[in-house]
Amino acid sequence: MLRQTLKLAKPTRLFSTSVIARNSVKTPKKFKTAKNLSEVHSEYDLIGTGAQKGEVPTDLEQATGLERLELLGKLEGVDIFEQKPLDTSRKGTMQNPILIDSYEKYRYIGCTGSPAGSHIVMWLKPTVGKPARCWECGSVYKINYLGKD
Amino acid sequence: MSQSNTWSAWINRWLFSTNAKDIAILYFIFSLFGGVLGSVFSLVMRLELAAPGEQILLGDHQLYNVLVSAHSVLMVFFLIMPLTAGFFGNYLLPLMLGAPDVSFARVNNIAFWLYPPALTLLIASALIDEGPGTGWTVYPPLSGIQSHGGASIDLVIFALHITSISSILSSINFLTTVLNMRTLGMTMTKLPLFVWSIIFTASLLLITLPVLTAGITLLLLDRNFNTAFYEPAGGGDPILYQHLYWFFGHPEVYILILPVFGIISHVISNYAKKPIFGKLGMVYAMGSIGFLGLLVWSHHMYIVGLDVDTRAYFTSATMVIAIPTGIKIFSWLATLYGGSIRFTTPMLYAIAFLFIFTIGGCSGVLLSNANLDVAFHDTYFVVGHFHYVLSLGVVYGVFAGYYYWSPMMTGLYYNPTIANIQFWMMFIGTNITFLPMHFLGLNGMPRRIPDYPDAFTGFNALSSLGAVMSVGALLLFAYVIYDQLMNGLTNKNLSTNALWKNPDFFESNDIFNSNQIKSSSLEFLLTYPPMYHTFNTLPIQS
Repeated sequence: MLRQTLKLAKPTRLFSTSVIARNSVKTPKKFKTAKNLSEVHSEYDLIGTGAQKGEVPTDLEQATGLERLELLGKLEGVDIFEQKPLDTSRKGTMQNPILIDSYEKYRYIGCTGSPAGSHIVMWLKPTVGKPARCWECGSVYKINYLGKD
Repeated sequence: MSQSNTWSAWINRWLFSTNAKDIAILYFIFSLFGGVLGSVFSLVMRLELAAPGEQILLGDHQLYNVLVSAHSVLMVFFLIMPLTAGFFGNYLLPLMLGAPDVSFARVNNIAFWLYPPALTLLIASALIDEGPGTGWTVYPPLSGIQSHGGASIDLVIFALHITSISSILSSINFLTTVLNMRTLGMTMTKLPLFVWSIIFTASLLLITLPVLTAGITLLLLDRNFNTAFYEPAGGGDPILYQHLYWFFGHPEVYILILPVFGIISHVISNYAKKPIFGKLGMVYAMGSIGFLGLLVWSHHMYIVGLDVDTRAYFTSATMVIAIPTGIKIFSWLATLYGGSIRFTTPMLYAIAFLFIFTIGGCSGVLLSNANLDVAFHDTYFVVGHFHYVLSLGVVYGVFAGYYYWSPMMTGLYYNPTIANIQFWMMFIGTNITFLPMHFLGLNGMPRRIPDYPDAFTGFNALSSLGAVMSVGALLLFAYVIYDQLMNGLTNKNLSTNALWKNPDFFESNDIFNSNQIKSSSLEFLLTYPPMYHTFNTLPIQS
């Protein structure tokens, strides 16, 4: 009985969303792998080429999706996901605060002084129009609002 | 996600939840069930022991042992583990990391929903056949098919299987979250201590739970499929089970206490208004406690016939754990020293924890000695010891955590006066319950018996009186939660626990007045309660 059931079963794995995605009409059957950021137009350009036959793939050959986008960015010196820590090259002042990019009208800032690690982390919440000042080292942070409104 | 009040939206949010904060609330509610059941069982046990002779169990001594088993498993697996790792871990870990959620949100849902069937199996085990009269250790041959013929033990084994799967999934989830989802600039050394405590807890769970699962699965095979892993007649050895069990069982007590170490560090640091003393040392101390905890399991088995060298090793290794534990206690005291201390409810619990945990630790050092343990083994001294570190230590830590974070989690404040009364009732009640147990043990009263000679009457009566007081404190805690949910906003005006009432000692009034929105811990900067989706733009730190 079990053997017959297995024979009847379709040769696709149950619960596998990747199979559904592969069979979807929208999914192209051939992929053009983007070589640099300017060639990326959709997620289908971010499929890695895979390893050369008989070789172990490099990260760049293997990576797919967002990880590939990040690697392509790194090749061109672009920090795609803005992963840099807080700027601690100097202490912000009221006249010359440290600007913090934000897509919202506030951002949570963990100050550890300048240079970094000078004191334990102090969390602040500067908002548009109201800079925040670290209450241990006095460094001032101001929001650089990147949103539309 | 839609927040409409339709039935499907409710199911979507609470049954199919993939939001760590919502799942944390589910863990909290679930653990209340486990806690109430476990507490009621303990009260019944104490009422039976209130006086010599048969009291309320009508001489059914197997029933007494079933209560012992159910109480222990409920408290360990269905109260403390869902509370510390499940509730506090799920709620606070992503917030402290600056992460919108845990790494595997759907796995998180499965991990929670494995708990209700496990609890059902455990309760069922007590209700069918003669129940499991084995304690939480489920030692063969007592748990073998000859001694417990029905399905009770099998159901306990299944319950432990399921909670183990749940804990393993949660642990993988927490570790991945910490390793991959820390916010910008947050290196491992800058992690808050609570996060570190969850890292060590999750690691211990991952290392030890497979061993427990193997041990109880072999027991299941012995019981049902004629194998003889633990049966000497077939070439097996019951001592093997004890080794497998305690390789899990001893780290398990550290799994229970480590998150509490994290909680206590946060509470003490905040209400002493000082950064925690020697933070990196605290991290290494927790790591050492966790690591050493894996190497000392046989100190639970001193009287099974271990050779003298083995006993010497396990005695020494166990005593070594007192060193990192001492470092932690010292660092907490050093944090308090010179601080601007506010005796809020969580701080009362934290200070009581220091006191109680030190007492429990000292009796632990006595028990670690193989020579002394020959006398102490299976006496009430052991019961007194582990209730001081668990029932008082861990539970105080959990109360401290609840009183510390619940206003942030709910946006509703508790009545501090009632909460302080609740603390004192709990403190007095639990100490009256468990202190006399040490004296009973020193006088030779054995564990897991429903009756005793008249000589033990006085201390037992005292202990039972304390148990009733403790249950009173728990009922008052239920009222504190009710009052918090009903009058939470009114209570805010009464609260002495507002976090930033006066400037820190290194802060000018000017800076304080112009900038009150700040904290040394990220979760307190969020809205109270935090948004359903936190951190649209990730926090950033240096």
